[in-house]
Amino acid sequence: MALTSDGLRAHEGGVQVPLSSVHFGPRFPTAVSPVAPWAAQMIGAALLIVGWGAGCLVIRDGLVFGVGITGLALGLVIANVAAWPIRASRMVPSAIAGPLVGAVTGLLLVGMVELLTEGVNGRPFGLIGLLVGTAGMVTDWRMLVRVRLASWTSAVGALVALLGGTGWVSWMMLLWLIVFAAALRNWEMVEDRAGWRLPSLEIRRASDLDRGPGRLTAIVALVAAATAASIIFLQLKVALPDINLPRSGPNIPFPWLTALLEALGRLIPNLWGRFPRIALPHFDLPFVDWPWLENLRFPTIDLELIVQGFAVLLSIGLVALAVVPLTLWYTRRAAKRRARPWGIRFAERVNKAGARRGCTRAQGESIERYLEVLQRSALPDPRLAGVGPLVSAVLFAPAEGLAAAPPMTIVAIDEAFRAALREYPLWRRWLASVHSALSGALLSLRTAVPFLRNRSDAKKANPPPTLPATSVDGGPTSWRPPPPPSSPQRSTPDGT
Amino acid sequence: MEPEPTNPDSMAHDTVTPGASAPPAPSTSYPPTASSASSAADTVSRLVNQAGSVLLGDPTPIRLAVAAFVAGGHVLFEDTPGVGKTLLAKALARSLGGSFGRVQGTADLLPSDLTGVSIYDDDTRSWNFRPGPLFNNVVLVDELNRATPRTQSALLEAMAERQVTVDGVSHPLPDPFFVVATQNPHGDLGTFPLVAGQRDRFSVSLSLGQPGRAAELILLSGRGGEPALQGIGPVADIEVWQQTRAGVEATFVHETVATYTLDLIDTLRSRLGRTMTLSTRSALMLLRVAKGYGLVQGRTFVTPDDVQAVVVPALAHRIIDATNGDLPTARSWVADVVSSVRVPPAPG
Repeated sequence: MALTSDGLRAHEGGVQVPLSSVHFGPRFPTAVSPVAPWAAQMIGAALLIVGWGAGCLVIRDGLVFGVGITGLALGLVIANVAAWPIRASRMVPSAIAGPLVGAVTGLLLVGMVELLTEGVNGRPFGLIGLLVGTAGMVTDWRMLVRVRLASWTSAVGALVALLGGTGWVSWMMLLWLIVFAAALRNWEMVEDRAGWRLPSLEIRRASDLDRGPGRLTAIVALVAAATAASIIFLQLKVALPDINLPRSGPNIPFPWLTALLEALGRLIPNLWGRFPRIALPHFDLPFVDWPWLENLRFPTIDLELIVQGFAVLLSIGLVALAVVPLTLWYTRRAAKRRARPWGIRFAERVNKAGARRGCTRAQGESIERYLEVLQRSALPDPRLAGVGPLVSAVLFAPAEGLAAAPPMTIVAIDEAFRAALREYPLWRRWLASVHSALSGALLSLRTAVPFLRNRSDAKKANPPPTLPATSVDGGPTSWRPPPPPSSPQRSTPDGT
Repeated sequence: MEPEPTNPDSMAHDTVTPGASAPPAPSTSYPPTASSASSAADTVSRLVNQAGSVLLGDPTPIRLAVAAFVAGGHVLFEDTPGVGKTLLAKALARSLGGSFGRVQGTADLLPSDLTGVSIYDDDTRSWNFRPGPLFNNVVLVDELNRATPRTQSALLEAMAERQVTVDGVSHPLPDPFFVVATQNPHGDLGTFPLVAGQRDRFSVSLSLGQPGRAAELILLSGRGGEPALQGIGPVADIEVWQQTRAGVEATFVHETVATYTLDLIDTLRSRLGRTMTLSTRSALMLLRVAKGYGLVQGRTFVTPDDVQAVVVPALAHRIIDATNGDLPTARSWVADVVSSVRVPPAPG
């Protein structure tokens, strides 16, 4: 095999891959998650169904529920199936495959929904797209690659819909934005993955890398958001009983139970006639036609109240279900973060401080070099000058190799860094940015408006004529060679 | 072509008694004491400074060459003529205080021109071994890739095992034994590319490049270069260098640094594909040179910066088969890979 800059070729698995983009182009991802275990997927799906169901119960929209569950199932299938054909995904760039697969899937689903339900507008199309992406994302971050382009488009659409839409469309778009924001945390890891790549390497590397809290966090956040939205809508409905929530499903109670069956019934009227319609409870006709009702002996209570109470309890339970794992996870994460070695914590602080000041640490940059760069740019505090080697010594020298006690060195480093941060707070950078922007604007203004130009500028532009400098003998000054340097500029390797 | 054994002082070939056993290796107990480590770092620093006073300009190649030396390795220079490769080799030889041998690579150079030959002595009626230029502390092999592969192979045993076998008899080489080879750029007429096994013997491959305007100005004013070479002497005794090289072995390598080194190697391997890989010797040599570089920097431990500083010169020449022998491309490729590997400590 020969790798050259002009014609790179690799023969792997019978597929010729242009290595130029692999080796010299986009870098491999730094963190990739494999498909979640089945148990995690099932737990996540169950949580999503419950949360989604609660939300749909409150808004009484069965179509949303049905489409959501379909989207979840499809997302799970795609997430798992995508892991199989490694060769296929190697051959097809994700940038092409993602939108293509998404469009075909969306069209198929819309066709199905349009076929099965009458009078449904085009909203399910966007909904399905969002849910497929969401489900795929919460079950497998790798799906981000597939839906990368679609997700950006969806995010923009969701934002527009959130601003201009009403009702359930708005809050579902809000959910999407929440999930999308969660995905943005890990966006860098997929930033370079739009081009050709070797997924087998990625998958192999994935097992060695830190997978992060991604999936479960996203599921819990989704459930929590759905629950919160449910509670808000429920409280709105309780507080304002006359409010009319927009609905898109059939005009019957519990439409999310009946939507699919009814659609089937419309498709095949005879079949629909065979369904025990009496098994579908109606509030306006509470169980009067149900043959089993006599045996059940329901007390005469207000079923609306029961349903509302159940919804409240369910919402509270779901909130607890979402909050408890989140709290546990955050507590454990905080404990784990506190238990990390000092070097990791210090590096994190330095990275964060530098990034906030516009100087992000490069991936292949050591902490010592990064501190030097910061000291020259974003944090020009003289106290940081010698901190880099000290940090290296603390991190990489044997304990007995340190002259001073390591804790004292660490304290000194921490104090120097804190002092530098105090000396160069963030507002200084913002102030400098504002100043720079204003100066630029002023300069543009002065350039654009001749009246505002300073006279001195004009003088500089047209300097008055001067006599040429003359030497002692009256002739023009002649060039003289520079005197030999008194000391060599770099006579020693250190340049001293 | 007859090899040209030279000595920087007298241009005379320093003979080393063949068959003489190598001096005993100094103890390598760890941890090194603060004074011994400081002394070694000071000695190495003086060596770098002294060589730098001869070869003006960017001191990085000198540091890397010295790092390779104290790590017990060898150096391969690939550069255009006239940038000071030979000068640096001579400066190092003088500063090290050992003997110096020089061989000019040509197409008709024979292996025996490097290793030496056995000559029949009529008086004693026996075969006496006459050592070749390899039996020196510092050996400069100029234009190595002009020699045939057969002659190039004569260096393999010497560089790897520190001995030369002639007529079935192994002759140990002096300690320290340091080969500085130069080769013409890839594609020059009359060159035989070094095979992978031969390249693998070199710890680092360096290019000196142009010294820069400031350094050239100093050279034009008559300082530095050959005149400066005449004024330098040994920085330390051979025994000191032996101890220093042994001390490098005991340089502390933190687990995270070793892991980072392997991360680099693994990333390179994964990107090279299946048809070519980096040997375990590459990883070992990378870490050894990094240890040497740490000592050059005055430390007794290795940092990720040390590994980064030596990874390109230590690995680029080993993978040039993947770039059709183009060393600059291989260097930029390795540097690109290095920039993509996270450096510890890296928060997750």
